[in-house]
Amino acid sequence: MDETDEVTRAVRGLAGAVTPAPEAALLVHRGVRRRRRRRLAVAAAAGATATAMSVGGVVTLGPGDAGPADGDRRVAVASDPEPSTPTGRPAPACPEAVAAPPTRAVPDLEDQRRAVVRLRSLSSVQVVRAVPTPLGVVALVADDGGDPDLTLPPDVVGVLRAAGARWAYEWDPSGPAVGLDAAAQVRQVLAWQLDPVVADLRRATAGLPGAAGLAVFPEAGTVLLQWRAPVPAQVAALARDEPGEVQVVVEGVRYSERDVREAGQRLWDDAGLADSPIDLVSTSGCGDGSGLRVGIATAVRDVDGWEERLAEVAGMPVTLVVEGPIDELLPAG
Amino acid sequence: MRQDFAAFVEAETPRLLGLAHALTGDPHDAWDLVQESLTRVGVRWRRLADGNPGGYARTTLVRLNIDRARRRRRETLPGEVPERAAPVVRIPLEDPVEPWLLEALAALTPQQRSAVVLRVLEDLDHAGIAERLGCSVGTARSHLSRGLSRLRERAPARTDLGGT
Repeated sequence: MDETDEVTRAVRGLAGAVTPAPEAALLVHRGVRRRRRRRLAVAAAAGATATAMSVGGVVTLGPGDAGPADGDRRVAVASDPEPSTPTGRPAPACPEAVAAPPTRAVPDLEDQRRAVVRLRSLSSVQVVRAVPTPLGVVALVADDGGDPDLTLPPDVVGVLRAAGARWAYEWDPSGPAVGLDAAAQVRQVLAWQLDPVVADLRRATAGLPGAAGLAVFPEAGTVLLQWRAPVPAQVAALARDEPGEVQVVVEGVRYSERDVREAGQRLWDDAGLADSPIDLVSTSGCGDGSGLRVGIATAVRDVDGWEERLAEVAGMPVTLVVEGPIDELLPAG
Repeated sequence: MRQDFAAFVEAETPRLLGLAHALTGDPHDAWDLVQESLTRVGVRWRRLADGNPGGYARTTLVRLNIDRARRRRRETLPGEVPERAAPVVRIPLEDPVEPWLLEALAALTPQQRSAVVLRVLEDLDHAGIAERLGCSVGTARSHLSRGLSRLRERAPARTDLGGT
């Protein structure tokens, strides 16, 4: 390509217009650590679910995704990751992730199953994946190699709709190479349907004090809105549960996001910790809104005593979690 | 030789960020893509370290961006996107972003944009672009050709070439 080409110069200029700040690498390492914990938790949750099914016949449409492609900031897991605690005791009740709301049934499951059979037998459209979901049948369709500017032409959408698909998206054949297998792509389609609801909730609650967080559970078609109790009537009224539609669950919790943020800041600002064995690595809210999770680099003696002392500074219950020094948390090279 | 993940992140982040910024035109979105791509590399590091983790990261980033763009094309999200603090620094001395470019890039399909950016920044041929996009060579050629054509239609005519 011509080095003097206007397009070439402009694109290179755009690429060079940003540089990473020093903390970028640290954020990546934290992200890796968090993702590894979640994967462990998902594996644990999957084991627990399998046990429950074999013993009690519990049928779940669990939102925990064993696939590596979870793009959500919060991942629903049936049981929380339990990193090592300073004393090796059972982990306290301060989960890192938000617990999933009760399982939702798939509405009209038999109808959806029949639709799936129809979709898979279509000759004019290649349906790679079709599955019943709480939000209706999701169909992923192979690109037929036509005009690359088009995604799904209207006539194809019409065929799929007639066969019973509620959501029709193009199958991404390159997805599995980057962790987006068929199940993950279906999950993504469901997550996209939650986005407008999340935006609506943000708009409806803008400026109201007490917000404690939003969590999405794509497979369940559920958005969980946590709010500091007592939940105002205006917020409680946002809950909704209609079959086939996105469900909104409003849950009262003890502390708001702001409460947690300010509590964490008080710890970081506490000069008294500088000469103590407490080497802060991170602070974050418990997934159930019950207090503050405090990550520390190395284990300390008298965990209960330190949690109590830190709680006095923070102004809310504190759970210590040994995360290790940042350097040791990196994947082995 | 087996690489160290920390060194890999240190070395690759600027390049990935540039690629992501050219793909998205937005430093926050660019950072999101970089972080997600590097995170995916990180959790698979033991498997990738002896191979081509940089290629894996760039392919992942490009595909994630196409996915993100497809998602946005199909929906109009109400409300404003909340502000996020991305660990991204813009070069302060002058703004090297051509004013017409963002608008022109936004007019391309995600695949066309990716093809152009990969050609310009990564110097990939049609086969390389096809591999990154996960499509046939013919389709990659079509994306690149149409993308470049559309961009050049919108590029301002240069008046300072100083000759032919």
